[in-house]
Formats: sequence, structure tokens, C-alpha cells
Amino acid sequence: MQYLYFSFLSLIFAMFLTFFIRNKNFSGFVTLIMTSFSSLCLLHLSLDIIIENKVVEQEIFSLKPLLNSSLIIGIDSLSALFLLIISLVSFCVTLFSWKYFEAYKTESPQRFYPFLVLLFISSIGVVSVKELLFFIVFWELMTLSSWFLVVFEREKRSALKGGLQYFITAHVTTAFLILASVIVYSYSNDFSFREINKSFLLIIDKHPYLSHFILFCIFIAFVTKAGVLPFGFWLPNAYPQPPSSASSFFGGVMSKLAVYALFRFFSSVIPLSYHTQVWGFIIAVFGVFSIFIGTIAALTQDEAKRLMSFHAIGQVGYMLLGIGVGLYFININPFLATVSLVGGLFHVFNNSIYKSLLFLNAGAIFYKTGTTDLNKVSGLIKLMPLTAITALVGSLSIAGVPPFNGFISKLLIFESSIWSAKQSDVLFLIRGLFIVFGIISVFISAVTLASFLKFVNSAFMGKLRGAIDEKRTLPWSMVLSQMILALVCIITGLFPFIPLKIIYNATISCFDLLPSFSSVFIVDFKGVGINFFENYSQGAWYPIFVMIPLILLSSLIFAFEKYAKAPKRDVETWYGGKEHSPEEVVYKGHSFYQPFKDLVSFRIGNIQFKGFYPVKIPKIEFKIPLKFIKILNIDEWLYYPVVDRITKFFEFFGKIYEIITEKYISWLVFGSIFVFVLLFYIFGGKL
Amino acid sequence: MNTEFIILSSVLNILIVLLLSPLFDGFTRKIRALIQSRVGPPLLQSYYDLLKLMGKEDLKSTINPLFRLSPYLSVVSIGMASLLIPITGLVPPLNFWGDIFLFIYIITVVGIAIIITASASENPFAYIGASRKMMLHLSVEPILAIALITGAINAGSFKIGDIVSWYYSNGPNVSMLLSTVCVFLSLQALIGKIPFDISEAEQEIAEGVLIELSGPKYACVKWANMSRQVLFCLVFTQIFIPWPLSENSLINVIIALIKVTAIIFISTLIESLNPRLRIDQALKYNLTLALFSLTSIFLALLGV
Repeated sequence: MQYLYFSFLSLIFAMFLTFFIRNKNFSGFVTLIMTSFSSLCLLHLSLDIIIENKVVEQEIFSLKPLLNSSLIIGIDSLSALFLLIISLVSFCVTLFSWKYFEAYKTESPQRFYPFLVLLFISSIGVVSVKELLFFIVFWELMTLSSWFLVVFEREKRSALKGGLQYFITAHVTTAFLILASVIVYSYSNDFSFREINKSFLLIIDKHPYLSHFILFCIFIAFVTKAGVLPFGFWLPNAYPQPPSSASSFFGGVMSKLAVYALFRFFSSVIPLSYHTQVWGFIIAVFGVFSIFIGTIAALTQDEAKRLMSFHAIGQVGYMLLGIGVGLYFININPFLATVSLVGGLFHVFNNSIYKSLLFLNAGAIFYKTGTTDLNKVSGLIKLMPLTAITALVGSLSIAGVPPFNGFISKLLIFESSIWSAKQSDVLFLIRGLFIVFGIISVFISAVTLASFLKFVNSAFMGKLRGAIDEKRTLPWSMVLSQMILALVCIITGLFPFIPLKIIYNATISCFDLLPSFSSVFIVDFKGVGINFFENYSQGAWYPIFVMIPLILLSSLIFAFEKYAKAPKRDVETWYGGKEHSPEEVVYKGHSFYQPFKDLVSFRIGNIQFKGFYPVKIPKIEFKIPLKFIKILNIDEWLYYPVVDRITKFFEFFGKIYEIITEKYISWLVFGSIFVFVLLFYIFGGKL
Repeated sequence: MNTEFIILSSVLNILIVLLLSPLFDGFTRKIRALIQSRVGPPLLQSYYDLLKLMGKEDLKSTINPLFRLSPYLSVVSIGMASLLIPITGLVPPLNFWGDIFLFIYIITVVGIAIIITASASENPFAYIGASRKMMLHLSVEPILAIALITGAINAGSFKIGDIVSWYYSNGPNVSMLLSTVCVFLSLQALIGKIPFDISEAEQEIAEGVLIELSGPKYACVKWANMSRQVLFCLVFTQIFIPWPLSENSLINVIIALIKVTAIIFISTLIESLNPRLRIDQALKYNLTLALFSLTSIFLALLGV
């Protein structure tokens, strides 16, 4: 447990220190040292908890006289999983931003590093508190620090606009969360998750509609932060704005923490009931909606970071689909629920790694060329081959191509949503819907691949083009951070058994009624065998075994080619017999998949839809009746008329002084007589 | 299922798909020549072509390392996909719970390899071809996925082996027949032959994805294209028409070869009697077919 305090302390120290350092390089170095120390501590802590599968809980201080609330730090396997992710991603992000910050010439690091470190602190806080009030405190701290990062470049209009949208949306939905917590507190009289869990059964029993409202508030708060459409309209405007290393932490960890919060609330804060099933279905529906719209809209984007932000929306949809299907079936069929929940959480783990990797790739492009517009750059593989390879690894992982890491998690999600066909006690329509969800997600993973092949093909392949800063070579620290993440992608893809076990433990720590690991993933469960990892002859998925014959085969072809001794010659590109300069015949990123884009673009009224996503979000206009505005405007009908009358009245009397001196003197005489008579009258002639 | 059977059937699958594919290509060339009243090349001509190309001069238009590697990947991924098709019996050599999704992904890898080769070659014609190939894949993949999922719902398993066993023993029902028809209608697009050879249109974009390839690389990609034809015909015959079947695995192989020859004959007839579609027409055709084939899922849910 003390490791958590160490990491907290080192991060807080780094935050205060970087407030005072103006030197970019030194500031980045300090952050790197402190963050790597905290990452090591977190890694040790989370591995310790995951291996022993235990729960650590500690009360730090209490607000007992004021409120029934106390800061409880509790780390179970689920929190440990997220701490693992945070430690890995935060280390890579700081390693990357150390040298990356040189790409920003005028901006001061004092406006970047403190907030980045604050973001790390608050995200560690979010996953490790077990108490609603302090959860909201850390949640709000996370929103604020990330907002400062979004508006980092204050001169850019788009940054201000995206920041404003983010700020307003996040706070409106946090208000929903606070509302929910206040209602819950009025029943439970305690903010800790355990007490809420006990008293929530009472709320469900006595006020079913109120409990639906509470669940709605919680749902909307987290789903907006995760960027699920239609609530996530702010995300594609806000995520591309900060420096890429911060975007990478946003896409890799921050939006996944919303999924964590959703999972945590629906698993251990709110007891299992019929409500869970209803909201599981709603979560799945919203998940599929954002899978479909988010990813197809990403296909039409030409700016690398904006493209990835749309994919952040789409990938969150996969996680929500897994978690939603799991929550729906948790009372009906625990086996199916386990597969689905594990799939959803596994996708969180995978996604946080490859999504941060892809944002870092975009950052490397920006460092080298000063832009991330895919129409303006190409052929960068010749300048930064390792970045290109890691970008390819990340792209194939996000599409779920075997043997990279997205495959197993997507497989589990597809299987669970299609497997609902066999649940005969579920409504026919709902079964059909779940299957359609599964098919949509299979189709969309091909769309994901298409849009990332567009990213790789137009940024890294082709002729070298774009405003390239030749002197600026990519520093080793930036390459190393990308390599680490890409290696994790490949290793978890090749050996899926270890992360699967970790994630199963994380799931079981929240739902204790689920079937055991061996009965789900190793032997048959009630006649259904998912057995990934039984012996090979019974049918199992060992990517490493499958790779061996393939490598043999390709080396065979290679040997044959060597034997044939084909001569080699360097030639110019052949343009069908005509002479062209490369600039004349360039194929820009915008031109990719044009017919398909036309197929999914249309127009309704004034709004142009591109890939089912409106190009400009329509303005919402309220028309309030004029009389109502007039009544509200008290100044107009009460204050000004009265004040006017009064001032005119006094102005009239004021004129008396100004006109003639004689009149003034006579007024004085008459006045003094009047006062004299009045005094005489009052005191009854006893002067 | 024992280890010897796995090794035997893996070797047989790879041999059929990779080594016999030039033979089938020679067969299609012969048939096309007969339809066009020519004599045509000998049946083994495609082998000679490949062998000769392996020793031809290799022209490098770029220093991109992926340009060198990805042609191998295109051949190898087809070899891997062949491991998922049951040729020697009812069960393929590589199987686990969920291998239908692995299959869908592996045919994606076949496309990726060629797309990366094309875009690494720096030629704008190749870029156009790569973009078209991805779009075609996008539109045709759902049809195959829906057909396999229909089988999965009917059989109650995500293994190709179980689907084929169920189909073999229970006979065709309405939903499986419907999905069989849908797969047959999308077969030309899966193979990438006329009317769907839009990404390699010779007259229009000068062979598109293949334009910069020469020597061994061209041989690899050409070989991959030939093997793809055999692969998808095998998918259609072995998964969607599993009859007849015997106990002996070698007889099964011969039956499969006869069925594949028949399908390739039909596909060649379609190829030589039709014009090429435009990409937007092809997209509309495939997506309509995909939407239509969704009905087979609901029929399967109803249990018919």
C-alpha cells in the first residue's frame, strides 16, 4: 500500500517542481524521472495484487463530524488492472514528451507538465478510491487538468472552441453525477461504495422509478466522458488539440477510465437486479451506435489526430457492447456473461495500449513535419522506419488482425453477442438485435482496418513529401516509447493466456457469482466449449504455433528466390509511359475510398452528413415568446419609468436654484421663516 | 483427432491450395481460350510462368522495406487460411472455438498484404488499386461473415468443423440454403475476377496494384491471386456444399478437387461472358446482397 503513497508523493513533487522550471528539456527530464519512479511503484503494487488476487483497503482520513464520508483507498484486481495500464502509458507518454516538446517553440512548459502530472494523479485517484464523494473530487480534478491541456495552445481558435465544448459538456454531466450522489446519500447516509450497495436495494424496492433516474444520471455522466455518441460530440473537437503526448493519455487512459467507472458502478456499487439487465441492454445499444457512426465517420477524416479521436469513440463502443451484453445476461446465463465481460475489459486493456501508441505516432509525424494533415505528408517511412512499423503494428492491432492483441478481445465480444441466439428464454427481437450488433461490429472492424490503412498508406508510404525538417532527427526517447507500446501489443497478441487470466481475476473481483476460469476458458461448461487453451489436438488458439509453419513457408520461398538469383535494379516509378513529376500525380489521403464515402454521405435539410456524422453540429435554437422576455426584464417596465419620474421631479426643483439670484434669496428668506415657524410650532412657543 | 491427422491434413491443405493452384489457373486459361475460339496455352503454362518470373530481373522503384516483405505475406496468409478449411474430412486441421472469426480476419490479411505492397510501391495507379481493393473487401466481407454466422447459429458452435458436421448430417434448411446462394453470388467478388476485378483493371489503371511489381515479387503476388481462387472455391464447396463424403481422407481430397474444378468452370464462364463493373456499382451490388443475406440470420433464429 505504501507504494501507492510513494507514487502519489513523487507525482505531487513533480507537479510543484515543474511549476517553477522554465527550461523545456529540464522540466521534461524531471517529469520523466518522477513519473518513472511512480510507474515502478504502481507496477509493483498492481502486480502484487494481481498475482495474489487480494484486496487492500485503508481509510486515510475521515470527515465524520461534518459528513458521513472518509477517504477510503481500496485496490482490488480491477483497480490493479487499471493501475497497470496507467503506469505503462504514463511512463511512455512522459518519455515521449521529454524531447517532443521542442516542436513547440513559443509555448512554455509551465503550462503543460504540471497539468499532465495532475492528470496522472487524478486518474490514479479515480481508480483507487472506494468512496463516492472523493471519487467525484478526483473525477472533477481529472476533467479540469485535462481541460487545461486542451486549451494549451491559447492562440488557436479550434483549441478554444474544443476546450469550451469539453468544459461545458463535462461539467453539465458531472452535475448529473453529483445529483445522483446526493439522492443516494439521502437514503444511504454514507458515501462509501459498500454502504450505497446495501441501501440501493431499498431504493430499488421502494422507488423503482427513482432508482432508474439515478442509474440514468450515472450512465450519462460516464458515457459522456467516454465519448459515446450522441453524447460524445465534443470528443473529436477536443482530443486533437493538446500536444500528442497528452492526447495519447486522453485516448489511452482517460476515456477508458469512464468505462472503468461504468463497470465499477454497475458491478460493485449497484447491486445486481432487474435494473442491471435493462441498463445492460441500453449500454449495448449506445455502444453499437457509437461503433457504427464513430468508425464510419472516421473513414471520412483527413487529419490524423481527428481520425484517431473518432476511432476512440468507435472503440469505446466495443467495450460498452461487451459490458452491456455481460450485464444483460449476468442473471440469465453466467457463462455468457463472463465471456462478454472479460471480452469488454480485455478490449479496454488492449485499446489503451494501441490507442496511445497511435497518438504517439501522430505526434512523431507532427514533430518531423509540423502537421498531421494526411493530405500534406507522405513517404515518411524513409525518414522514420521504426515509427512506420510501430504505426502498422498499432493499426493492425486496432483492427483486430491476428496475431496482434485486438484479436482475442474482439473475438470474445463477437462470440458473446452472437451467442445470445441460443438463449431461448430471451425475447426473439432482443436476440435478433444482439446478433445484428455482433454483425455490425464484425463489419466495422473491417472499416477500422480500412481507415487505418489509409493513415499508414498516406502518411508513411509513397513519395517523400511535405515540409520536412531535415535537421531534426527523431530522438531515441520518442522511438523507444513507441517501441515499448508496440512490443506490448505483439506480446499480448502472441501469448493471450496471461492477460486473459489477469482480466478474468479483475472481472471476478466485482462479480463473485461467475463460473471459474477453468470452466469458462479451459474445459466445457454445460455442453459449450470455448476451450481456447486446451491441448492443441482438441482445438486451441496458440498463435505462436500457427506462426511457425508460416515462417517456414516464407523462408522457403525466400530461399527459392535466392537460388534463382534474380538480378536487381533500381528504377524510377512508371507512370504508364508518360513523363510526370511526382507532385503532378500524387494520390492524397483525401482520395482514399471516395466512392464508399459518397455512399455514406448525404444531406438532410441544411445539415450535410459525412459518414453518417454531421459536418457541422446544428445549433439548437430556443424561441421564447417576446412577452415572457418582457416580463423578465424588470428594468424595462418597473425600474426605468419610476426612476425617470423621480429624476424629472427633482430636476424641476433643481431649476429653482439656477434661474435668478433674487428668487434664490427670496426662497432663502421664505424658507428660513418656514423653518422658524415649524420649530416654533413643534416646541409649542417655548423657545 | 490425433496429431498425425492434423499434420497430414495441414500438409494436404497447403499442397492443394498453394501447389495445385497454377494447375487450376491453367485450366481457366484453357477454358477461356476455348470460349474465345483459340487454342490456348498448355495446362501447365502457369507453372512455367511462375518459375520463369522467379529468376527475372527485380526492378526496385522504392527503398521501402515493406515493399520487399509483403508479397511473401500474401502467399503465406493464404497458406494459413487453407488450414481452416475442412478438405480431408469434416474437421479442419486448425480449429478452436471462434475460428470462423479467425477465418474472416485471415482473408482480410490476404487483402492487407496486397494493399501494402501496392501502396509501398509509390505508384499512383497502385494507390487507386489499393483503395478499390479495400472497398471491395469492405463490401464483400459481411456476406461471408453473415453466411458463417448463420451456420454458427444453426449448429450452435463457432467452429467451422462443427458447422460442417451439422450441415452434413442435418441436411440443408432454408436459412443455410439462402446463405449458400448469397456466398455463391459473392464468389466472383471474393476471388477478384471479372466482373469484380476492379482493383487490377488492366485497361483502366494498368493492372493497378500489380503495376510496379516484377520478377520474384510479381511471381509471389500472382501465385497468391491464383491460390485465392482455389481457396475461395474450396470455402464454397467444403463449407456450404459438404456432400458427398467418405471415411477415407484421400478419397475426400479427390471429391473436393472434382467439386472445385466444377465451381472454377462455372466461375470462368461468368468471367469470360461478363464485362467489368464500376466500383460504385460493385459496392452497391455487394452491400445490397449483404443486407439481403441478413434475412438468413433471422430464419436461422426461427430455426428453419
